[in-house]
Amino acid sequence: MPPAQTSRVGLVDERLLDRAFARSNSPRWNLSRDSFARALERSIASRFATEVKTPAVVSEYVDSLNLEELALACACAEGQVSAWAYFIECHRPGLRAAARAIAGDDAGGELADSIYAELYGLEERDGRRRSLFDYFHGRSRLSTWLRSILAQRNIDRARAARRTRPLDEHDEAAPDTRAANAGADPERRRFAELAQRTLAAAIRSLGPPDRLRLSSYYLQGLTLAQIGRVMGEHEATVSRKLDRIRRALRVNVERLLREEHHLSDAQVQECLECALEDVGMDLDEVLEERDTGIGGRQEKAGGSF
Amino acid sequence: MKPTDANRDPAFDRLIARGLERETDASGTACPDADLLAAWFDRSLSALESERIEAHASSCACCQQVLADLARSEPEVTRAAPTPAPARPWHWHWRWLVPLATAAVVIVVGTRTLRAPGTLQVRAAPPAALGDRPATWVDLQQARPESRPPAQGAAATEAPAVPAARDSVSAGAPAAPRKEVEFARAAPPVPPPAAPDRLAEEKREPTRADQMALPAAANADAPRNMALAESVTVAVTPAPAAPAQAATARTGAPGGLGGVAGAKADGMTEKVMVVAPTPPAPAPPPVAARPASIAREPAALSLAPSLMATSGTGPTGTTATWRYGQGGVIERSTDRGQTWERQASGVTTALAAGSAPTDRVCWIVGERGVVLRTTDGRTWRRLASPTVGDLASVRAFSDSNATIIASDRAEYETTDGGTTWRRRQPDNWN
Repeated sequence: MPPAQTSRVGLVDERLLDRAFARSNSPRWNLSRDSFARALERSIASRFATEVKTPAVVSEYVDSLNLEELALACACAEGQVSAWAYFIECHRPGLRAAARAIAGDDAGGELADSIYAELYGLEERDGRRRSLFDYFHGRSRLSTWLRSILAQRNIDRARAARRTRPLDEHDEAAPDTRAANAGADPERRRFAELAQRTLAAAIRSLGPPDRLRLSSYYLQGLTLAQIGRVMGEHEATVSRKLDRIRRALRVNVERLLREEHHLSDAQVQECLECALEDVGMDLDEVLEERDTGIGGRQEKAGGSF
Repeated sequence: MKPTDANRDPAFDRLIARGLERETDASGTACPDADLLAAWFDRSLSALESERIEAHASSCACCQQVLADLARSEPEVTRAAPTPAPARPWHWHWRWLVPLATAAVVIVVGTRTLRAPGTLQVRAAPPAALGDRPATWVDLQQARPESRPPAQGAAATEAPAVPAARDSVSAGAPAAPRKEVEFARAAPPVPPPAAPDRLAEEKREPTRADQMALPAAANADAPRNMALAESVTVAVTPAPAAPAQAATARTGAPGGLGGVAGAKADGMTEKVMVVAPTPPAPAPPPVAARPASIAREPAALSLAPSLMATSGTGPTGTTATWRYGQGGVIERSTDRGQTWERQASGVTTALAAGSAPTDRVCWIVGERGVVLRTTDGRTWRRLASPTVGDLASVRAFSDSNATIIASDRAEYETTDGGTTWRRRQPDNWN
């Protein structure tokens, strides 16, 4: 059943729409101008939901969109056979490969297949079939958007699996590190907590890009090249920046311990040793839990910096 | 005090990992949707949006996971997606047309210089220096520095009969009085184009576009000469039929990537050299057969553009065409090539390719990593370049999105107006 048509709200100037429609190659998918206009308006509404839009800004925004892929997604959402044939032919192999990279070889195929129903849209609302393609606004490449969808679905599946895991498995997966540390020297325990708090403060003081680089390396286990892809940098730059951040963190932690907690150099050293000792007791378990938890399959860092 | 251990410390790494773990929110609340994350990953967001996403993702485990998965799942080598309409890769045309056009320009220069009487003439080595063998482009290049007279005086020794130097290369009676214009030299050196090995000649009738193209061709070597801080002689012999047209109303029909056509005076038939897999063309006469004289003229005036980029129809219904070429020369026409307005590019290197997504936005790239962009159709700004190598092609989608291809086929793309560039794998996945 073709989706019911929703009315346009006039977010797009007609001349701008003409230009965008010409660029979109919509007729290739038998996509009408009105249908394309609605997709464009959804995109504009999404982009400028909280910002003031002027005709010039809207025009610039529309010019920056991947209009051909927006038209393809729109045609798929409408159920155009030619568009779906093209989509399957062009994107299915990449979708499966991406799913395998995200969820592993075993679960990857299932993950990839699971989103086709969503892409087509099995649910109806207000007489219109709701396709996942409606949420593609042309701001990214369609392939990137699809991989992003896969990644989010994989997280959802991992969370759902964790919620349904028996309690005894929870107990095994999350050992009580406090019990393991219960017998530690109170002074050393205090030093360890002090160092960890100080480190946390130093991490919080980092800028978002630096923090994202660190997390990508230490928590997500990305290689330098992969981090470079995330941050839009060359991997050599990533390596250099990670090294700089790590050094800065250490300097800051030691400075804070000395200046704010009035520790001597020897105490600073002892403080860090205690923290490292404490981390050594539970980090492996924590990391193991993370690797099997939120993200499912994880790759270890493939490089060093 | 210095840190106790500035070198890599695996134990401290574990501490950092633990600290990050504690400082990262795994609740997954208020996360941006897949569309925004994907756009951030593709560098398609505005600066403000990017900052927001980055700030959120830096402390959100879920978004970090999505971004990590995007990085892990990115195809390294992708296949070309089938398309209903067979089309070559967009840069295919440029890859060949640019060197072809360059070669043709070089050949026209040689032909003009060596053959056409009373036209552009360069004082080169005496006949003896070249011997009896045909003069070649290389000969010209080698011979020219020796023949350059010392630069003297900035002003033309005599007012040119033809207003602008690029318009001044005109055919005429050999006996006509010669007007001399001298070039000022100030620009950095530009590598010479490769001389074609095999040439063929093709005869054609002159067009209006030729009148613009020939000066470009005739002076295609000017940047090199400018680099030497010396002068090159251009002897201008006004043709009897050539009117003293106003330089400000230069005409020329859009020639697409042509630029290879030589300009000439009305009523004159000229030969244009094109590269072809044929035996070498008959050699031009010795250089000495044409006398040369020395003159000065602003260098830029001799460097007419030879390549073009035409925009789509803009919001106001107008179409703009830019042409560009040797010496960093850029000109713009908004009346479909009837008149051209020269624009300051700020560079003197050869410009190889351009792309104009709108009538106000145009990107032009050239040698030595030159990336130029205008967003108002008038003023050009040189952008940071991802490479110092020569750039061969550009495809622009807006004033912020563009992809460039270097001569070594490396592709770079920017989504923030050239502030940052990302090396792009040939991604035909979608």
